[in-house]
Amino acid sequence: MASEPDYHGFDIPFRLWRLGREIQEIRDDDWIYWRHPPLEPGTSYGSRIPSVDGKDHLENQSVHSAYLLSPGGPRHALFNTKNGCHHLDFQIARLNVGDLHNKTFPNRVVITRTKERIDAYTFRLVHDPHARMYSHCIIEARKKMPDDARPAPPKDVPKVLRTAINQYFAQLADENRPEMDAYYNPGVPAPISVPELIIKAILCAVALFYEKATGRRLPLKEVERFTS
Amino acid sequence: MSEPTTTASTSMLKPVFCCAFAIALGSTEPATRKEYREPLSAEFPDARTAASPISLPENGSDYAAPSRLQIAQSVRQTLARHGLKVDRQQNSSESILFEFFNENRAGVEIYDTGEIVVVVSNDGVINAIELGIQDANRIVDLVKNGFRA
Repeated sequence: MASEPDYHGFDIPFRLWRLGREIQEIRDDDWIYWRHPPLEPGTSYGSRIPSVDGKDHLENQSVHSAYLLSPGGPRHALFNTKNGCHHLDFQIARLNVGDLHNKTFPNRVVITRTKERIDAYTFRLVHDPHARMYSHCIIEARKKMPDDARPAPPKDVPKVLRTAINQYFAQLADENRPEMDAYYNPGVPAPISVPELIIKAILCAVALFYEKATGRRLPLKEVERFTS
Repeated sequence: MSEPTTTASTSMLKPVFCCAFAIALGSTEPATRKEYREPLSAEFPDARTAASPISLPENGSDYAAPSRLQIAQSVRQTLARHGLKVDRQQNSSESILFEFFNENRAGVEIYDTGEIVVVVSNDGVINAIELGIQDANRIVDLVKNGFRA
């Protein structure tokens, strides 16, 4: 399921890389971060969390586990491991795993009314680590089978259920909207912390010493930026 | 004699410096300036700027089935006639969604296949109802008043 990234990913923190770590079960008390194009100010999620690419990925929505992302913050969910074009100006929705993991739809909260009977679907949160992003997960939709032990392949969710579940997700995201708005920082890099600044200053001093001693520069953008 | 020693030691230190800098760089949050955003839908223009007003074929006629855009335009016009202004429109590759930020948190989604799904939320309970283009009055009623059992 995991796809290898097309780019090096060196601008993604090492601690977010997989580095041989194993696939984990997602806990019910975990949160998921779901990045999306920003909403207009003052508007709610309405009936659907906006799609990144104009497609509805209800069967295999890409998200990040907050627990597996830690100690990273929600903004680390903005890294794009596919091509390195990070979605800096995107917003992040937060949903409780317990509200969707292993839940069956329709249910008492999500009700569908159709002429014909529709199949029930369950949503599972599956850990799907990428080489450069260990916390990557997928919300997987599966048809509910009479015998739960029997695996069922992912399948298209009926339209009426699709619309209802999209609204359910949007409703869940709205519950955490005020807290998550603090992480919306369009296009501006996060402010650097003081210890990080000190470490970087020391490393830059070492780099300058290295340059002076050898006459060569370290092939790193950071050094270039400080020494140019 | 000291020159080769210095060169050797610095060349040995180079990978260490590289690793240290890579870790330092990696400790930051995303700061790349490259921005990437695909349009939400390049394929389907906004219904407001679509072609001239349309007239949908009667039920059971031999005309070709109306497209999603035509149905969306028709639904939008019907809702507008009843004073229901679409607050936000989201186009995806397979549907057009009209959202209403009213107390019912209503949404009308028109799919490629011609299905119209109206979704309303009352007290946290979500009701989604599958309707057809012929159920215009029902769509208007649901968006205005929500679902009443």
